[in-house]
Amino acid sequence: MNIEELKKRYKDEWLLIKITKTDKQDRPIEGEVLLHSKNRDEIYEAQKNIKDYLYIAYSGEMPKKGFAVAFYG
Amino acid sequence: MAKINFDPQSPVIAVDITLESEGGIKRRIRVALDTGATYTMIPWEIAEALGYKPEMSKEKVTLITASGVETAPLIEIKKIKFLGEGVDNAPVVCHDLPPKGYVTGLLGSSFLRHFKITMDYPKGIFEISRE
Repeated sequence: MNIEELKKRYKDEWLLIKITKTDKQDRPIEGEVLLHSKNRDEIYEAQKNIKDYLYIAYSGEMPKKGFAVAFYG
Repeated sequence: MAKINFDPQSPVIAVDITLESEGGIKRRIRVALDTGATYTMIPWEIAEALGYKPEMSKEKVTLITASGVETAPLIEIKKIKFLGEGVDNAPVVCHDLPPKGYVTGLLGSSFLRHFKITMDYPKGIFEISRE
């Protein structure tokens, strides 16, 4: 299934997607959801021993107001 | 040259990168484009899934955070790809960002310094190319 459709289907969740089709730049076009969860750590744990090309993403949108980010590193 | 459109109103410019290991394992993760970050940062467990052992790294970096000073391992990933451009033997810091950050890591200067990058904030356009 199309990656963007998967994100809409499992909105506001962390997704672990097995990529089944990519474009010339190796960007995922299609895939299948192996796991979806509100808990990111579950996704991290589940991907540990899988050798396939996996995409890990959050399907929600960042709030534009009342939310600020400061990173470090 | 490759380009992406981003929302100038968004609190974070989130982009997807692909990480590749020597063993051919690949992970694609969403990270924040952060020209102010010294290093690209990836989650510890993603590094492990790629076959790396962050805890064995002899190189450490100091992270200055809001809650204090931490150290984190620095490792070399076989390849990082972004918008069709790649960097081999790319240094990355292994450290987990808080879950509510919507991204799993940072794309920092250790990757970006290899390219010519331009950002048009009013139009929301980011471009990257080799010189």
